[in-house]
Amino acid sequence: MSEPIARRLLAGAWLGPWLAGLALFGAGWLRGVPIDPALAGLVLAASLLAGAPAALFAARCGAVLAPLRLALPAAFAMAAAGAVLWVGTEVGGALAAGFGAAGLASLWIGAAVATTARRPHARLLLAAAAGLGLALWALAGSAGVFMAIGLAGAIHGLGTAAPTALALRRPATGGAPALVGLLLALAVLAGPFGIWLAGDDALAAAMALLVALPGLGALAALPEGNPWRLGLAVLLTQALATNLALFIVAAPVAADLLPVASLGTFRWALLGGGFLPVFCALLAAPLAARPPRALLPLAVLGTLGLALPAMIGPAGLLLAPLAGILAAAFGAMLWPTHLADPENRDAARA
Amino acid sequence: MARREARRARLLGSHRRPADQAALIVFGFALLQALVALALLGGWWAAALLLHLGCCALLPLLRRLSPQRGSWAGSVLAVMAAALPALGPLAAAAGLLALLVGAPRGFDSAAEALPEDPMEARLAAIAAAPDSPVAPLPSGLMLEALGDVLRWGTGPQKARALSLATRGGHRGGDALLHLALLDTDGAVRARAEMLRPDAERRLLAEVESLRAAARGPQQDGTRMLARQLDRAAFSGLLETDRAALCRAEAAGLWLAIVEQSPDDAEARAALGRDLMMLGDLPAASAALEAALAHGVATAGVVGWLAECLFRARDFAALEALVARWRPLLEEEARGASPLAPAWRLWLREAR
Repeated sequence: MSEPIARRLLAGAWLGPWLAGLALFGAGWLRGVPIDPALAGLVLAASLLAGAPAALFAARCGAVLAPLRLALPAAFAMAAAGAVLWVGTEVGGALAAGFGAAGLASLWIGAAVATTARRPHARLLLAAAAGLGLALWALAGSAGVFMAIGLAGAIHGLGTAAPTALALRRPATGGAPALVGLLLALAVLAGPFGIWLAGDDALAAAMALLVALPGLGALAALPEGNPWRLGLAVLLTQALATNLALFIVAAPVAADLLPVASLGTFRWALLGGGFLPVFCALLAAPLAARPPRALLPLAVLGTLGLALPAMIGPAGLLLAPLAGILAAAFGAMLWPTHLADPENRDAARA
Repeated sequence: MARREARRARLLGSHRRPADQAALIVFGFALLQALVALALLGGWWAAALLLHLGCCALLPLLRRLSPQRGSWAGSVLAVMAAALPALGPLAAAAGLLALLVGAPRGFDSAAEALPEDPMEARLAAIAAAPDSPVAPLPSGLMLEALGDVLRWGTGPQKARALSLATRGGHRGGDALLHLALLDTDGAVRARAEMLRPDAERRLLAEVESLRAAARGPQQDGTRMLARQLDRAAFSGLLETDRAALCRAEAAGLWLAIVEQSPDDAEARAALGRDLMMLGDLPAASAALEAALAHGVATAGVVGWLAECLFRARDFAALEALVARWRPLLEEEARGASPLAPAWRLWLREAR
C-alpha cells in the first residue's frame, strides 16, 4: 500500500467523525432545532465502536456483506438503547438515533473499503450530501436531522460497498495502515470518553480536539514526498493552530458553549489535541516504506496512549500524543529488525 | 406485496436477465419499506415494526431466488439486503439511488464473469490484477500472456494488450511493442507507432547515460555501452537510420574490444552480427567464423553466420556449415525457435 492511502486513512479516521459531528450540528442549526450534544456524541460513538472494527475487517479481507450484517444492527442497538437508557429520549428519537448510527457505520465501512481499493468516491459523497439536504427538507425536528445523516451515510456506504460485493477477486488491500488508521478512529473516542468516565466535561475535551483539524487536513492534502518533511510541515501548521487556539481560549466560554469550570480540561485537551496530526504524520513515516507486522504493537500502544485520560484525568490528554509519538518511534526502531529477515528485505526491495 | 413481487420475479426469472430480476426485487423491497417509512412518520410504531419484520423475513428467500452476483443490480441487492435489517427504509432508498447512479466508471470490465475466450480471459485477469507494489504480477507471466494475445488475438484484443503492456512502463514492454509494429492489423500498427517514439527516446536515453561511463579507461564501460547500443538497434523500435548509426557505433566499439583482447568471443559474435546488418558480409562472416572458432558455438551465432552466408548467396559454405554443426542444429530444429523450420529444411537438403 502506498503512502498516500495510508495517510488518507490515518487522516480520514480522525476527520470523518469530526466532519460527521459538524454535519450533524450544522444540519440542526439549519433546521433551527437544538441537537442534544450527549445524543450526538452517543450516535457518533456507537457508529464508530461498531463500524470501525467492521471497516477494519472489510478493508483487510475485501468482504463487505458480513461486516455490514454485523455492524449495522450493533450500531443501531447501541445508539437506540443508549438514547433510551442514558439520554432518556422517547421511542421516535431513539429510533432516529439508531438509524443515524447505523447509517454512519455503513459510511465508515464503505469509505475504508473505497479508500484502500483506490476507488473514487467523491461522486457518491455528492450524492450523500444531496440525500442529506433532501431528507432535511422533508423531515422535521431533531429526529429528522438524525434520519437525514443516517440516509446520507447509507447512500455513501451502500454505493461504495456494492462494487466490492460485485468484484469477483476480493481486493485484500488493507494492510497495517488500515489497521492503524481504524484503531486511531477508536482512539478519537478514547480522549473524550476517558474524560467523561473520569467525571469531567467530555464536551470540553471533544471541542478542544477540533484544533487538530488544520493539521489533519494538511496531512491528507499535502503531496507525496519525504514523510519526515511532511511531519515537519504538519508540526508547523499545528504549532500555529494551537497557539491561535490558546490565544482565544476563552472564546467558547464567552459564547456559552462551555462552563467556566471546564476551562482547565479544555486547555489540557487543546495542548494534547494540537499534536495529534504530528503523531499521525510520524506514524505515516514508517508506513510510507512498507507496512511491517511490527506496526501492530505500535497501533495498540498508540491507542492505549490515547486512552490515558481515562486513567489519569485531563492531564492525560497532554500525555496521549506524546505516548503516540513514542509508539511511532518504537515502530521506526522495529523497522530495521523487520528488514533483517531476508524474506522481508527482498519484499521491500522488489 | 413484496411476496407477490418476489413470486412474480421468480416466475419471470427464466425469461428475464438476472440483472432485471435483481432490480425488480430492489424495487419491491423499496415499495415495502416506503410503507414502513409512512408508518414511522405516522407514529404507528407497532405497524412499522410488523411490516419491517415481515420484510426481513423475506430476506432468506433471496438466497433461493439467487439473483446473479455478477451484475451491478445483483450486488446492490446483496448489499441492500445486508443493510436492510438495521437501516430499513434508509437502506431501500440508498439501494434505489445506487441503482440509479450505476456502477463506478472503470469497474464494469472487472465486474463480468471471466470470459470463455482464453485471450479475453487473460486480458481480463491482467487488467483486474492490482498493480500493488507488495505483490506485483510476475512480469514474465504478464509478457507471455500479452505476447500470446498479440500473436493470436483479434484487433480490439491486441489494442487492449498493447495498452496493458505499456501501462507499467516495464522493460519487457519493448518486445511486445515490436511485435505489435509487425502486426497485420493496420489499427494495431498505428497504435504501436504512436507508442514507439517514447520507447525510442527511453532506449536512446539509456545509451546516453552509459556513454559517460564508457569514457573511462575500463573495458567494462565500453562493453556495457556496446551491449546497450545493440539492444537499442535490434529492438526494432528505432528509426532505420538511427538504428544504423547505433549499429555502426556498436561495431566500432566491439572492434576496439576485439583488438584489445582477440580471444573475446562475445565481442567477435556481436561484431559479426552488426557488420552483417550494416551490409559488410565478408567481414561479418569472418568475424562470426572467428567467434565460432573461439568457442561461442550457440545456435544463435550459427544462425547469424548462416544468414550471412545466405545473403552472400554462398550456398556451398552454408551446406558445409550445416554439416559441421549437425548435432546442435538437429536439436535446435526440434525446438520452437523462430529458425527451427529453416533448420529442418536445410538439414534435409544437406543430407
